[in-house]
Amino acid sequence: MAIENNVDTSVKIGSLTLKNPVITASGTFGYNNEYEDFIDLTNIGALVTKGITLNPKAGNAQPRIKEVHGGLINSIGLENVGIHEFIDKKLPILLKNNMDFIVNIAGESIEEYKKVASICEENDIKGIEVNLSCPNVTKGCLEFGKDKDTLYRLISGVREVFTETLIIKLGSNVSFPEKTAFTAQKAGADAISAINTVKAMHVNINKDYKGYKYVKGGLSGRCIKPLALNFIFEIRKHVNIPIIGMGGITNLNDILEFFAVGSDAIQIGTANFTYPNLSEQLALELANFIKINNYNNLQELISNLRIEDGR
Amino acid sequence: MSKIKKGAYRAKVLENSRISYDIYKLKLENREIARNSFAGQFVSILCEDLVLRRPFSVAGVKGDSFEIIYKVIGKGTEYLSRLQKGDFADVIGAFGNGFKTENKKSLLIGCGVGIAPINFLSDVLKEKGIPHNSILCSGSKLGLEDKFNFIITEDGSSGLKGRLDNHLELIILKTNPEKIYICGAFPAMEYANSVAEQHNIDIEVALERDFACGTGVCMGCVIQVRKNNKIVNRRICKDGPVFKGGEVIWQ
Repeated sequence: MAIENNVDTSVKIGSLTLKNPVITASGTFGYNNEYEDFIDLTNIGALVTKGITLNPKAGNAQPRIKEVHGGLINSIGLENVGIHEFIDKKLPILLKNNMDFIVNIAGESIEEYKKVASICEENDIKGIEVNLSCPNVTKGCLEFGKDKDTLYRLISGVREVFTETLIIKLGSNVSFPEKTAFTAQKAGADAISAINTVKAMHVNINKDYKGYKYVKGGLSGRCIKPLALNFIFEIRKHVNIPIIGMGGITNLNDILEFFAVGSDAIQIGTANFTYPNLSEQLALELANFIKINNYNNLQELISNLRIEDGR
Repeated sequence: MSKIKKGAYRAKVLENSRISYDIYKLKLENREIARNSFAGQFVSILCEDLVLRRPFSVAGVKGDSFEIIYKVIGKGTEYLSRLQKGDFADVIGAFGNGFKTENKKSLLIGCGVGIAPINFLSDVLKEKGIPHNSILCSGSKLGLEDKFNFIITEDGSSGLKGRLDNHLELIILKTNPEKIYICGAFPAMEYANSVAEQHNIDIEVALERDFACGTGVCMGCVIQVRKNNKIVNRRICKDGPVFKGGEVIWQ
C-alpha cells in the first residue's frame, strides 16, 4: 500500500529530498529490511541504520536493557557488524528494496569517524548521521559532543571527506546545547538530529536490603519528550539548518509539537518496539492531517505551527 | 512465497483461567498466529501502557486459537490476568526459530512456566508419532500434570519430591532418550545440558531474557555462543530462542 493522497509531505535535508518527514531512529529499526513484516518500507521518509563503526563491535555485557516508567534504558554498547560487512551485506538489500536511508556512524577517534565517512562516500551513500553522544560506551563519542573545539575538528574533518548530506546527532548531556548546535553548523553540518538518549540509571535494591544492583545506560521513550522539546526549542534560535527532532514520539500530536518548537523532520525510536508499524501509520496520518486541515503542503503546516512563539 | 505479516493483530480472548496460585492459561483467537506458529516460538503482547511488549511462548495451537501460560510477576502479567473472555489483546508474532524436531526418542523437560513451549512440542511430537517422555518440574503443583509422565515438585505436592537435579539422571537411565528438549530457568538448563553432555545426548534449550524489540533489531537480548571455535553474540529473540545446549556459554 503506497501513501497516495496527493499531499506534498516532502522535506529537504541537505541534498536529500525525503518523501515525508517520518524517519526511523538509529538502533530501533535494524540495518535494512528487518521491519518488512510490519510495514511497506518505501512509505517512510527514511530509515537510519544502526550505528556503524569501522570494525565490528561485540557491545556491552548483559544486562543491556531495562524498562522504566515511560521509557527504556539501554546499554547495548554499539554492537554492530562494522562498515565493511555493512557495505558488503547490508547495503545491497537497502538498494534492492528501493529504500531511502541514512547511515549512522560512530567511532572512538576523529580518524575513525573520518575513515567510516570516507568509505560511505566511496560507496555513494547519500546521507550519514554522525553519532556524537552514545551515552553507553565508555570511550569515544560522548566526549566529542561535550568539548566545542574537538567537536569542530571532528565535524569539519568528516565534512572534508563526505560531500553528501551530513547530519550531526546531538545528545542533551551537554551544558550549552545552543553552542554545541552552532558549532556543528559552523563546522559544516547540513542538519542536526536531536536528542540522542539521555544518561540514566536504574537501581534495584536487593531483597534483603543489603546492597543493590544497577543498570546504567541511555534513556529513551515517552519520558524524555519534554527534555527533547526543550532542547530543540533552545537550539532552533541559534541554527538555520534543518533539525530532525526525536525523543519519545508516539503519536501524531507529538510530531506536531516537535514541528512547533523547531523540527523540520522527526524520528521515531523506542516506539517502534511497542508499535512496529507506527512509522508508516504516522506518515499516513500526517498526510491526512495536512489534507483535512487544508494546508497545501507540509511546509505550510510547519510554518503555521511556528507562528506563536510564546506562552 | 507470500509474505507472512506478523501483526499487530487483534486477538480475541476465548479463555483466561487461573491454573494454580499465580499461574494462568490464556487462550486467544487469531487465525494468522495460530496457523503460522510452531513449538518454541513466541508472541509479543502489548500490555496496557507499558513501553515494551512482553514475550510469551506459544503453549499450543488448536484451529484458529493458541494458548500461552504465564505467571503473574509484574505489571504486564497483572494486566493479562485481568483480561476477560471477549476482550481483545494486541499481539504480534509468532517469532523465533522454534525447536527442530527429529525422529529420535525424546525427553521433554519443562520447568515452571517453561512448560509452555514444551507443552506445544509434546503435541507436535505426538502428532508426528515421535516417541517421547516428558517431565514437568515446578515448585508446587501446577495444575498441568495430566499431560506429562514425570512430575517433580519441590514441596512434594505432586509426583516426585525434589528438584530436577535429584531425578534427571534416573529418568534418563529409565527412558533412554536420544534427544532432550528443555525450557526453564538458566541454572536448570545449564544442569540439564551438562548431564546431556555426559550421556552424549543432543539437547536443545529454549532461552529467555528481557527483550526490547523482540524482532532482532535492538541487540538487547544477545547471548554468547560458541560457533566454529569462536565466541559470538546471538540474539535470543531472532537467532533463538532455541539453541543447541552445547553451544551456549552458560553464565
